[in-house]
Amino acid sequence: MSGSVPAIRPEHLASIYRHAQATFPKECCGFILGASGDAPAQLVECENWQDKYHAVDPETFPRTAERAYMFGAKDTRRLADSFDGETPATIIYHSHPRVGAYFSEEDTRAALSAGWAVDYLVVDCQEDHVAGAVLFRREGQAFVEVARFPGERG
Amino acid sequence: MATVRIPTPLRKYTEGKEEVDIAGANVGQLLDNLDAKHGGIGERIRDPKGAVRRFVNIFVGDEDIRFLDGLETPVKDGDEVSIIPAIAGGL
Ligand SMILES: [Zn+2]
Repeated sequence: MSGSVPAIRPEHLASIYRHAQATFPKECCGFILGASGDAPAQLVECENWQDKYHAVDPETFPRTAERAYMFGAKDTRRLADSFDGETPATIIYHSHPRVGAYFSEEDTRAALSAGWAVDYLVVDCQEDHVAGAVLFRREGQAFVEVARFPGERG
Repeated sequence: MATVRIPTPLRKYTEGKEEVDIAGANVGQLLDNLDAKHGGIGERIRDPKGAVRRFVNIFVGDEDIRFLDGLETPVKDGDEVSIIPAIAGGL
């Protein structure tokens, strides 16, 4: 990705924060179709399938949904298909329960391996509130902070 | 023949094609035939031992083959198979 830092509409951010709180202590995940600042943009809240992958193949997927996220089939296909449509995905989001909004080694491995042309929003979700969120963008083989969003008291 | 959907990050292996028709009685055979036609894509999908890489999902219709019979999952004529980099991460 290059160019300007995408805006995130306040109602999108509020929905993402609600999603993170509702999913706590598990990670939530989802994506934004189109540029969030534009009218046709759409927030898609996804189900975190990590526990199902862990259950079927714990060797390959040792983490549970408290420490990882994975989109299910329908959401994965929808995101992939969006890049052939009018409103390609621009942001993939997930929450970090308790530990803060950083782009982890696991996040980096997964994102580099995938190569989706998106920015990544990581939400700092604590037990009783969302402390904020940070937007990361790929730069070479790393992901760097490009925007920071304030949290809200729950 | 099954139709294999190729997402944008993998199209460099298929000369930009969004989908390719590939034969194979099961997913493993289909991947062998796909790699024979589009060199390099096989390595991207499977590790040297032949297992599907952790950050790659293969769907027959709307089901990940990990919830079916893995590489033994049968493929019928007209099935749609998607090979999509996982949307995943963690702490
Ligand atoms: Zn993460």
